[in-house]
Amino acid sequence: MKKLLVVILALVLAAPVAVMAQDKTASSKEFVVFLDRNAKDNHYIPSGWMGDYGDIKMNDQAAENPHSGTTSIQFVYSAKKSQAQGWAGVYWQNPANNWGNKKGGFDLTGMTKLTFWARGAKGGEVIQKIMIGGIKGTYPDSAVVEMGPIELTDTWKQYAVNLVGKDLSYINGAFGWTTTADLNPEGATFYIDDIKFEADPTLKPEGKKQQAMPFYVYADRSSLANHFIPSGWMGDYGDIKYDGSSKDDAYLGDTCIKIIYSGKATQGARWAGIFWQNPANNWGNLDAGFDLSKASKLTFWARGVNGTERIEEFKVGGIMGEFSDSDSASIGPVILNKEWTQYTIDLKGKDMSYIIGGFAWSTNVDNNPEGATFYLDEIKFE
Amino acid sequence: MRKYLLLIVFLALNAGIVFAEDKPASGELTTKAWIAHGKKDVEATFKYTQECIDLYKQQADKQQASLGSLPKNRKEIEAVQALNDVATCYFIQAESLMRQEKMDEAKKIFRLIMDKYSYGQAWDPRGWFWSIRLAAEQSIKKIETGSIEVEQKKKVSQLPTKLVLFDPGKESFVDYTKYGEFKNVGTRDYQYVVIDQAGLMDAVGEGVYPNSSSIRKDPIFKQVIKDKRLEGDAWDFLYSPDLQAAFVKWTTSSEPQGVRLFCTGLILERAGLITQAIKCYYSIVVHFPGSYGWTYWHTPWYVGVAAIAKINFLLRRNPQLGYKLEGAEIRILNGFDNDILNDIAVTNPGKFIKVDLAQEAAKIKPTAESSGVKKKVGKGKVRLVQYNNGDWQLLVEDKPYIIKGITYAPTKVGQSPDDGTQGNWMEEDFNKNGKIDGPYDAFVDKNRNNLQDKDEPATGDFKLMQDMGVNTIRLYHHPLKINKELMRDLCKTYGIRVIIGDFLGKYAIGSGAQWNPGTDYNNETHKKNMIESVRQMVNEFKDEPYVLFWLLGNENVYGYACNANEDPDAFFKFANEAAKVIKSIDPDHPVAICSGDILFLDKFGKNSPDIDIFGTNAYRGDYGFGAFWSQVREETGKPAFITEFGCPAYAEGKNVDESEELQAQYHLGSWEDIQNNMAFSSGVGNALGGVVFEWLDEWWKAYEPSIHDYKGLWAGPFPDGYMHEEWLGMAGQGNGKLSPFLRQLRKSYYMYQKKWK
Repeated sequence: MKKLLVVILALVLAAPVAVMAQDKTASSKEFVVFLDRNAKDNHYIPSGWMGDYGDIKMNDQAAENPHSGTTSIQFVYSAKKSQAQGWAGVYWQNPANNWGNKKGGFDLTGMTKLTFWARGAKGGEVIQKIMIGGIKGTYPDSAVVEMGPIELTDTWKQYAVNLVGKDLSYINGAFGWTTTADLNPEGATFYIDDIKFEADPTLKPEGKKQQAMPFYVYADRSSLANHFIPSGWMGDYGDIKYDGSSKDDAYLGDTCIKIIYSGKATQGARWAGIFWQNPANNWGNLDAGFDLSKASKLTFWARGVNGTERIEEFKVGGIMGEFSDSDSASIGPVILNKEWTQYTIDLKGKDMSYIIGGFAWSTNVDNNPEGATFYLDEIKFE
Repeated sequence: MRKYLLLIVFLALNAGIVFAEDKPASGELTTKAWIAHGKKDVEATFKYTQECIDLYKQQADKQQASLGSLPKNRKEIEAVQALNDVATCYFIQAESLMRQEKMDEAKKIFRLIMDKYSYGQAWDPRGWFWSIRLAAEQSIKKIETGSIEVEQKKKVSQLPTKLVLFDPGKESFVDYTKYGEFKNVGTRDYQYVVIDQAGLMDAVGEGVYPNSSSIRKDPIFKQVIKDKRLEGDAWDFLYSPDLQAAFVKWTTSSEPQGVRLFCTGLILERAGLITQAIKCYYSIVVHFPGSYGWTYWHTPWYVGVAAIAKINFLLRRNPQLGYKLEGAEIRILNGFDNDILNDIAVTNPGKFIKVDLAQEAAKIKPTAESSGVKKKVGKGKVRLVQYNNGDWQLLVEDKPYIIKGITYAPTKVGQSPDDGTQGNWMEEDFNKNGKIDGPYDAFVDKNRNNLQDKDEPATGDFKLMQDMGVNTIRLYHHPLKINKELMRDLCKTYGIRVIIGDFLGKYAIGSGAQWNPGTDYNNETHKKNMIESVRQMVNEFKDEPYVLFWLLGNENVYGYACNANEDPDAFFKFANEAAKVIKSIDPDHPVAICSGDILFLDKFGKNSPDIDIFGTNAYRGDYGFGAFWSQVREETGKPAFITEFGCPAYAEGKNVDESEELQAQYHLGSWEDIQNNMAFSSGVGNALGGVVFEWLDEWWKAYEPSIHDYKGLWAGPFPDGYMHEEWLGMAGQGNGKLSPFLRQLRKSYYMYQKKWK
């Protein structure tokens, strides 16, 4: 046993050395991220486990029905929220566990797309997002590109991410996926195979496409149509309890959003609110706005438990940063009714061509000294 | 109201716990320690401070550990009282050691405060909290260098920039009827429903609701982001010379819409973009009339009401625009308390009307003669008269008397009531020439060289004030003794009268109460003592020729060593009793109250029918007092005056000339507003005048009495956003070396001279 441990240790120690010895520049027509376990062309390691990492089981030698070679990688996501995050994911990094703290990665200049194959065990499993690049730190990736959500089929299907025009001069996080318990309430088992960058000179840059309407912020708990994450907690964030799968008389579908604001001024701000962002926690630092130019309004349904809750503002856009929302629009203050009531934010004349912050609400303790419990549903651009 | 009851119950329960444990409250020990320190009783100082530290240190340590930043408002600050008191007690110890010249020991304790109690704050009875850590830092600096100024790193961009609008909008005075519908005007259900949002956005232009797009297309938007000039808190940008960054920061800020638009308007005003500023303010009136913000003292500030005042001020100041705002009014029902939950806004947005200046000038204005007298109040030489048009005047010997007042307290540099060194200026004769110093020996340092040159003879403040046009000063009959001879000469020789006041239990003065919990307006003993104090004042001065009228209190409604803030009904009822007592002794002089802005104005109206004049201390900004006059008329039907208003002659980042100009402009705006609301003017007609705060800079106000320091004591509507309490004088004391004689007259002095003489 002792001997085996030594061998494993030696392999682990040797691996980075081997990587360091590699050419750090991609010069051929393709550059492999991951093919099969121990494949000599692999350049990255699926080491960056995130969120509820306890919910993930990985088998990188799944022999059953690989797309090519002898194995594929199987992920079993339990959705048990082991770390109470509600989401989980894995990054392929170089070297292993490199969160930008050391120089690794590769110069992938010349590559124009990333392709991979995936299938679900049953079909219907949802991957919230695929990421290429985006690791920060002392040695940050030179680009971040995202795709998703995608709903898997029970047969192998190839997916491609257009990278034309992106700065790929330093990529440490070559490939990553995330998903959430809301999207996969019963968990998900899925397989990934043959991840690689490719150089296709005929490929054209992907323009920002104008999103078709209606475009949902929130439709239902596990709806694929949800495009924004309620990640931007503001002010007295300790006063907020958020339940995105409340079954208390949803307006439409199975679930609605339930928000309990305690008004205790936990952080001393005396107000609180939530921004729905794309991606999560994007305060304008990531180039990920949606083009919602076709929207003329945002509508949502809301109700308060007592019918006296006063929400100071419901808002669209307004996030400021390196990448700012192209506009903002709001209504408020609004005193909620006990019955579901539809509210509209007029977007006519507004520039909705780049929106990171799809929706937000804010309220305060002065107007809700006893706190406020309220529900939201069917938040969508139309 | 329920909130207050809960608070009182909470405090009472807490008090119960303290008594049950049989240990003195930390506040009580701290107060005793301050008093002992003031009396230079070292033994008692250390006894009380150490007792407080021993009893509350553990709790203070816990409170310090629980905080991540300096608590911001009164409620939060008072929640960590043990921390505040323990830090204060250490501070008193260190100050005492410093006074004993034990500098090393003092420094050690000051450092302890900085290291371990950095979030402790102390209440200054003049109306603000101060950081004990900062004071400790300054004291160390003073020990080491003799100076107390601690360099403050600028928090936001200070790059001076000019603001040019990318999209000034298609209309200068927007016709809102083209873009939407006004509903239920003049009612609580008022609403403006936007029908053509795109059209309205084009009309109003950049920065004005609902146009949030244009700013993002403005080239400065990308530039300020690229230059990282937006880093920092929006409030720190409000007075930044980087107008571009300030504009972008505020137009895109997440503050409530009303507050955001008001601050954007302020920045546009500073940029000289007056039309756009007016549009910005008016968008508040149209879209967010009931919006509010909070003052430093956590009293509500109604933005829509202030916006109307701002528009009127700007249109008055810029007659070339050729417009007036007619019919605009926002009344906040139940808006005189601290509870915003019961507020109801009744809104009439009015409309902009083109004015023909020549026609306006040709209009025949009513006069006292044409209106006729409706009501007379008082029988003596000083009376009030109300005319049939509703306007009020104060008459002295049957002639209209406009109160052109000033607060006169020429404290010598180095003196401070905090350490018991303040003398009585009405008696002091430091140069021993037989004449009282300030009033008769003060001289004007014309060339500001801090010397008395040959052509700078002693003139005396009384003469200088007379030359300025002052006709009134304000004095309290306690704690300093009033020199009657001096006042007689003030009146006889210089024509200046005196408003004489009694604190009516504020700061526990006159009530016999202890500082903590302070005067209780339901306590019969306290009330008896206060009535006796008032009775004594009236009996002593009623026949003095200089008395203009009597003044009760000094912003008691804010509380502090009295409970008028908790039970305003009881306070105003009691004040009314005091007024009745005054009138029973002296029917010849009116009685006024000195309140705090319009807090509990409705309760004054209800409970104080025998008080003749509503007076109040108000620091609202350079545009005057807004709806104050109409609110007093509606709630009380009485005449009004401003018992205190003022502005510092220091503004961070501005040179002396600029700062003095800003002070003068603030005073000009304030006085013009008072003037516009006097009888037979264009305004409400109930203004009797005002009392400027103050004649001379007082160096003790930010604690260290020998140094003229620049500390911003509280955030407010002043030229750099802060009150610099040591710089409020119409005259400065130069470098302080020739105090109490030297006067450097400021621009405000000459501004008033033009207006008053």
